Amino acid sequence: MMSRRLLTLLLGLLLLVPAAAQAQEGLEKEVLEEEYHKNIKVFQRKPILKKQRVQVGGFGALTLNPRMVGNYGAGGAVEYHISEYFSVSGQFTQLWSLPTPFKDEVEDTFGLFPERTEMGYSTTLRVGVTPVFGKFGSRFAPYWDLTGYLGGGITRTVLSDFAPTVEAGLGLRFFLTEWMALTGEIVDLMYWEEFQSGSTLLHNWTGRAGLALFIPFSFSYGDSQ
Amino acid sequence: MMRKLALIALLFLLSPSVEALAQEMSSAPMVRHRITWRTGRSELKPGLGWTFNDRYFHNVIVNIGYDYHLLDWLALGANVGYAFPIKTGFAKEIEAQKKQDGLSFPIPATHLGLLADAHLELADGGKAMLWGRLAVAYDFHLILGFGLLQVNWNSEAENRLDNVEPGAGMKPSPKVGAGIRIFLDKGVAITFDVVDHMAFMHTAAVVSEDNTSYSFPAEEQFVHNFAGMLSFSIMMPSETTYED
Repeated sequence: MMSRRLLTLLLGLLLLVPAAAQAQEGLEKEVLEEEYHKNIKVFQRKPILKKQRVQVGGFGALTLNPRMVGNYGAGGAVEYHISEYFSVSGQFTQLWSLPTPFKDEVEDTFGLFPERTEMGYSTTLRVGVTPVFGKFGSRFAPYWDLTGYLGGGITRTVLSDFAPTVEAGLGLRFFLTEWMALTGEIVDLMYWEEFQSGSTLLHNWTGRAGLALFIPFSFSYGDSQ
Repeated sequence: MMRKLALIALLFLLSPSVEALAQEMSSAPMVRHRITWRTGRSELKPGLGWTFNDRYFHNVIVNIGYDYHLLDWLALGANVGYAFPIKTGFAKEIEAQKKQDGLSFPIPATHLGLLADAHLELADGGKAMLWGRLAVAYDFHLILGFGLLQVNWNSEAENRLDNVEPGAGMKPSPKVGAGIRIFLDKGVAITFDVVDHMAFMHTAAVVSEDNTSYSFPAEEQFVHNFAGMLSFSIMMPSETTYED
């Protein structure tokens, strides 16, 4: 009888020891974790990597500051991302021109016929710098980045075959997936136009909006992250 | 005997429960608190704006706006502003070309005056990183509103207009725009909006052949008055709250 009681007690102690040890261990772990978390820094991986990927896209375009003539068009761009921050790209835009209501007003109201020019195409090579990367709270197009572009090329107009052109502006990419993004740009296409009254520097602020694909379609984080 | 067995059973039950709890906690998701940058906050925003793509007058706008953010993505608000005109270079060229024998030619064109609207704002935002180092909270927002737009004739030309009534005055004006708000701190933000203040209005009067009198065109045109507005947003209360 006595031995059975002892056996029961021993069994009970044996079961209790690990529980007590675990409780003690848990308490120590909690203290350590608290200490650990005081110094912890959280690094979130970038959800999209562009490095060494090629971006191919098409877009529609229009001039945002039409005076006598409005320009509308379409084009394409290829951009190679050297790193997450730097890229080189080329774009070609074919434009068509339509007279604006302002032109009619100046002619009809004031009897004046100002000189005007119409754009044909513009093509430029650009360097891109992407300093800003952001994310939305929502799930649609949750990631975006902002790129500054600076480049040069030519513009063909009805007055000039090859007008040397400087392009400067900003572009936004809204990533829909790892390999597809909506793109938008506002750039200033600056070139000298030879009017009869003299050479004039024109600023054609142009908006472009389109869709771009990234090749290869996938990426790996490797050691970079 | 039964009591002892019950004790043993209790101890047995206690023993694995500690481990189970530890396992459960280790696989639990991270607890993160989202800062509610907008919900339930008022926003007072004095701002300075300007119109672009202008015909005869640029308009520099001094504005004060108020928004109440009902939800993180929805706000209701109002704006009142006044536009000060500056003649464009093109208008000055027309004046110079049309000047005759010492008779000046003040351009018979309109500019904006008072701008007022009530609007709603739809926003979505998050966090942005600058060079991977500096984190800022931001939102992109759309603005839909309706209000009034005051159209004034060039005061230099008014005495040559045969009738000042039909062209000037307050016009109903739908507003559509978009913008970005960047939080510099929990209580202050910089907001940049581009809004189209649309209205049926006259832009220029018809000039008589001898340049001595002006008359109004028969019909008003639907005109897009695009304006950029840079505002300093004061958020109230100045502290943010957390959403689980």
